[in-house]
Amino acid sequence: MIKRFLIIVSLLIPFIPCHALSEARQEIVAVQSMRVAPYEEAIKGFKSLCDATITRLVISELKGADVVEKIHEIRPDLVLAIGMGALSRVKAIHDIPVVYLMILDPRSILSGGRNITGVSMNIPQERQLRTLSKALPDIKTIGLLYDPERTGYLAKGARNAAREIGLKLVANEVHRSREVPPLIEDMRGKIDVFWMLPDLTVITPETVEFLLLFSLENKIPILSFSEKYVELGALMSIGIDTFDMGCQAGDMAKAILSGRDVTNVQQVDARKAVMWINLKVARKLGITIDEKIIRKARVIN
Amino acid sequence: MRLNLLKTLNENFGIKVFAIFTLFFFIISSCFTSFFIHHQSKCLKDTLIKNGKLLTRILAHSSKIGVFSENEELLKVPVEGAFQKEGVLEVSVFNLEGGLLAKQERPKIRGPGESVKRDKMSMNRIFDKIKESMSLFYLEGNSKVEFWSPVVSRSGYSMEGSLFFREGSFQRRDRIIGFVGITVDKGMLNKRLNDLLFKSILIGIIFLVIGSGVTYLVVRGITKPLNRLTEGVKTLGMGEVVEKVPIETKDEVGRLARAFNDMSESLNRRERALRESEERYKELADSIADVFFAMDKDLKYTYWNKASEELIGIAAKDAIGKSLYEIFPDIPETRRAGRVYLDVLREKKHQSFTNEYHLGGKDFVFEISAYPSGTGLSVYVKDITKRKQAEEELRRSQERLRNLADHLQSVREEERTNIAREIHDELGQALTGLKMDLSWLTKRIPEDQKPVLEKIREMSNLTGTTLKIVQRISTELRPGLLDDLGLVAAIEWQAEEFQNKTGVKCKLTVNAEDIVVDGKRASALFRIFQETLTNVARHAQATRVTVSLKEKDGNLDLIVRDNGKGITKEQISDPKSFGLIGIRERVHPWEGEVEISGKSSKGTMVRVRIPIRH
Repeated sequence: MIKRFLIIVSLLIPFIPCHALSEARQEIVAVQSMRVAPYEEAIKGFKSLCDATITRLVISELKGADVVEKIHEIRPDLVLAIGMGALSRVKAIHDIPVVYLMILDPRSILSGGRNITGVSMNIPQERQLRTLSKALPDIKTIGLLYDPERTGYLAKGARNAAREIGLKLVANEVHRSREVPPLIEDMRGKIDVFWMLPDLTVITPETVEFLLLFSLENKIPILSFSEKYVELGALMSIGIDTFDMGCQAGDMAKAILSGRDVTNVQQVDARKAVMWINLKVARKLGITIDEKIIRKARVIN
Repeated sequence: MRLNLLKTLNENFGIKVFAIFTLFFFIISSCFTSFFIHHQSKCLKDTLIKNGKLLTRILAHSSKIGVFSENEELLKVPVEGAFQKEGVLEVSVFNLEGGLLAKQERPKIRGPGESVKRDKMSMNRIFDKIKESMSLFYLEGNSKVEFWSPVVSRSGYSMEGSLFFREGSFQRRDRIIGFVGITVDKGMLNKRLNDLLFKSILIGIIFLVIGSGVTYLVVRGITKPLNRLTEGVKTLGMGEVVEKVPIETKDEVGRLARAFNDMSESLNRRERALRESEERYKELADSIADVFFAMDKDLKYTYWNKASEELIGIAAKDAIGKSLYEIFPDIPETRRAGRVYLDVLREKKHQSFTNEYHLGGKDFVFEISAYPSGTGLSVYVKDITKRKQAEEELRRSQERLRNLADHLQSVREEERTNIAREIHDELGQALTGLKMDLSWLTKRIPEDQKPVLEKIREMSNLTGTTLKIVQRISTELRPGLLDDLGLVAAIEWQAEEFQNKTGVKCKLTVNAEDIVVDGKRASALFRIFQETLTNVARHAQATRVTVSLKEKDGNLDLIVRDNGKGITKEQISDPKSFGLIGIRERVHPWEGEVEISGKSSKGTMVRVRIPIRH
């Protein structure tokens, strides 16, 4: 029976109109600055929800070709921009809906483009602080450094969130990376935990190294934004789930492709946070974390 | 001195081996020490460079944050840490612009030839070099090594994504944020090398001393039995009895010692046998009554038997080793003996001679026989004084006998002549008278007395026959022809008589009508001729005889040849051939010669030569 059906279908295929097929599978161009594992994970999440044909454009592999021109040649139904590098290129497109993801602060480069929406990597500061308070209930003062030009908005959010929760925040501005070590040294004895923000001025290999040494020497735990630093020696991190972020973007793309106007699709923050805890560091710092928290977290032991 | 050393080296196996091994150990020790020092020098230098590089890298790494933040406090610990390292003279840290951030140095840093501080230009050249290569390098001076390294920072995160995700996901680029320099003292390296050299040389010397000691013991272990063997061989060479050499090992030396013992035993046996043999020969030579001695090629006595001692009066121990002229006086006899001995030595041929000596007041005649030998010559001296005396006596006796025989012959011949003459004269005349008497009787007796007449006639005939016999006997006893007509006529008569009696044809050849020779010689020659013809008739079985009588060069040659069976050599020398002996004796008074020869079936020839006059 199945065999007979397949034969009939195969005979009818030449007579199906082309436009009918094109209508059935919409095309998405996914632009990414390079092929890296987190981006691939995010694309997997995206694909898991959006059943469209995805053409991949990796900027590092285009050998100088103009991405925007390429996209215009393809004329996709939607452009998926993965990462800041990709978004900074495709923001010049105005006639095709653009969904971004894996971007920390899209507002820094977007100037009100109406065809652009997406998911930022930002996890609300209040949520992060609440999670931190649960894990380390004894903390009172949190220190952080920020470059007002880069993460001023995050510092502002942190300050608000701390006030909301009832914690004291010592936030110092940094304008050059080399200012970081003395500023951190100044925080010795003044803070209970250091909150590491994703700031390109504050976070350099040297500052990270200094910060981690500072943490160990002064038994001041570090709250980071990526498990990468937890592996290096930070106590815990509250970061994004790249697959879930892809899923979030996939939902958005699906809605847009199904005819919803881009302007009606809200730019959102990452909805799922992943907590990592380094229990080895916790032991060295003499910190005991509640088992309930540990069960919810991904643990480095 | 040097020659003595070389001679000692050449002659002493132990010293030679010891010297070679010591030299070998010295060379090995030197090579090993040189190699070790060279290797250790390289290793120490490599280690210095390696440690310097490592220290500089560690300093560069540990001072990264301090350089990054240009914070002297943060640089203090790493700089001090590096400076604590042994041999480090200076540690300095610079920022990217070349500004000095931290520095520690020891006063010793500048050597005599390196007192000038690095100026700004040279520092900039170093920094430029580091920037260009992005890697560590070192500058080696006479007394120090400078290590320079960049302080490298991983580039700041260029993208937000790189803040979140693990390294490797995003491109990173290293950048230099400063420089570190460490100066290390090479004096430490040199000190270590010197210490090492001293220790190596000390070890080499100890090794050399131990090696030499071991070599000495080993060589002694080899040469000691060899020396014993050498001593044994020397003792053997001197002909003494050697005790057995102890066999201490089973190796080649032990086998040599065993072989030596076997050889020594064998030689001892042989020597004993030789000595016994020599004793026997000596005893034998001493037992003979004649003088026997041996001489070497210089005519020095090497053996002297007992008879020599007794005869010459010199003991063997005094004679042996002395020369001919030290024993015997330099007289012609001694010189003659010396010449003969030298001839024998030269020609390797035996010679005998007779020498007369006056020894101990007596005259001696020695028959000396010299025989060549392997070492010189052996001389056998026989005292023939008595023999010579006996020979002289015999000769005299023979002479007397000959004289007697000659005398007897003369007497006999004379007697025969007298008898012949008496028979011829007395008996012949009596018989002639008798015959004449019988003839007279015949005439006186009548005719009728026939029987008497017959008897008388018979008596007359008998008388005539007897007269003829008397004549014959008389002739045979002494041919009258010999005395009356001479030798030639007598020979002719005898030849005719022989032919008539025997029927053997006899041809006589005489080269002179008349040969004048005295009666005795004529008589002797005639008798020889008669004897010869008698032998022909008795033994030759000849049919023809030729006789030749010649006078030549004062000699009278009589040659008689026949064609008979020929006389043999045995017959010629047969002592029972009295006829031939008589022939020889007859010519002896005149020193005549007799030659008798024969060829089988060819005949015999007798040749007699007698000088006609003295």
